[in-house]
Amino acid sequence: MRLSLALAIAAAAVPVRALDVPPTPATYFTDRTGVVSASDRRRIEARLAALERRSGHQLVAVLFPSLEGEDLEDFTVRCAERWQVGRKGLDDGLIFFAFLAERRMRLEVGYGLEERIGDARAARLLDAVVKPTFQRGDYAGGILGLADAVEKLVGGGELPASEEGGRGPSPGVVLLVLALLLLQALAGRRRARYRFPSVGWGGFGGGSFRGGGGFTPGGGGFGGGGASGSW
Amino acid sequence: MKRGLIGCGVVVVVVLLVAGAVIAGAYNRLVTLEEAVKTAWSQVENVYQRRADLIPNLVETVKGARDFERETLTAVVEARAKVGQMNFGGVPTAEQLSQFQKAQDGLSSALSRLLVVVERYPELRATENFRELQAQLEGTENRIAVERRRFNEAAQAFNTARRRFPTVLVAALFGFAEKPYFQAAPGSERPPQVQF
Repeated sequence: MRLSLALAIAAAAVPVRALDVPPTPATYFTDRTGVVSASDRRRIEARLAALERRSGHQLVAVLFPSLEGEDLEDFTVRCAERWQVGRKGLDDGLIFFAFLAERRMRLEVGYGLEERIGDARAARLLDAVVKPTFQRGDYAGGILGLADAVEKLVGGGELPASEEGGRGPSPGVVLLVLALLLLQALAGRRRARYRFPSVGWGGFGGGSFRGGGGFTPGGGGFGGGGASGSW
Repeated sequence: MKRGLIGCGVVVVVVLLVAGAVIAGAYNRLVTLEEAVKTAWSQVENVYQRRADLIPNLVETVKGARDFERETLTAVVEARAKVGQMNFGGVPTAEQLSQFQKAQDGLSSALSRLLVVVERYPELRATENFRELQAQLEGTENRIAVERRRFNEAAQAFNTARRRFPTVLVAALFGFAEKPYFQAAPGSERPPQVQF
């Protein structure tokens, strides 16, 4: 009797949420565990950036040390709601989660990709591509393999596929921007009150134009599609 | 004297204008929140429909296994039929929602019994077709959990706004009814997970 009471009190004292939803990552790949080497991190980052450049789809991958008692699917979908991976309106983002202590993983698939990467397909991706590499302890290889498999499945084609097209605005756009900036400067000198609509650099091509890269959320939505797995 | 009357008139007009603006604001806010509840409900219906659509295929696949338990299959088919009768054409009332939830939970438990029974048929479990269905079923259960939570959140946002003053007067005036919630039955928030 006394024991059960003590247990009940102990249970009540345990915080309900042990693991908070982290803020939106600034990179495509985040290793919160430290198992992936710096050079592999850069390789994964470049691979995932290339995936977005070529296909338009954002794939974000995060390694966590542990779920800390959280429910896997509940936690990952709350992350997906907050991070908004994928393009707004198209909802075509993907997020890969792995929790090393529990050896569990999940691929969250945005609403817009559910046709091409259905739950069964997502489960097979995790099982056939990620699981064997993770079992060898090769986390970088698993994520790189996942990126390759995803790119094959989504097939690209949404955006101009050429590398040049993705790297920056075309010469015409650059000329237009310069012309507008010039006009703006002239107008500013002549009539201080009148302002042309300001032309910022951020408006072009999302992350690819800034050169440095990094992940910028596009506002994509998730509805709990995807699959969970373990290794 | 005349000036006093004009002053009163101005005050009345100003009060009416302010009241009108407050009422319009509250009304518009309620409409927006109610639309969000409607959208959330149609998502709930979508994901439940998605699950119902998987069942004929599941039944066919399981039937193929040698001497599979008839009863569990019949239970699933019957529960599926009950679920099929649920259609309210919009956000349900509290009573309709509890009926809906009862029918859906009946299907959930019939399905989880089926998955437990399947454990005894290793050759069925090993088939590509069944594994695929299993993944789809799990995915759908997860979507259901997500959309149910979102519906409850939308309903809560509406209900909270509706109970506030002065919105509560506007809600009464225009007949905005309180929205019901999904109740989480103990232990049923999560679909049964069958590990292979």
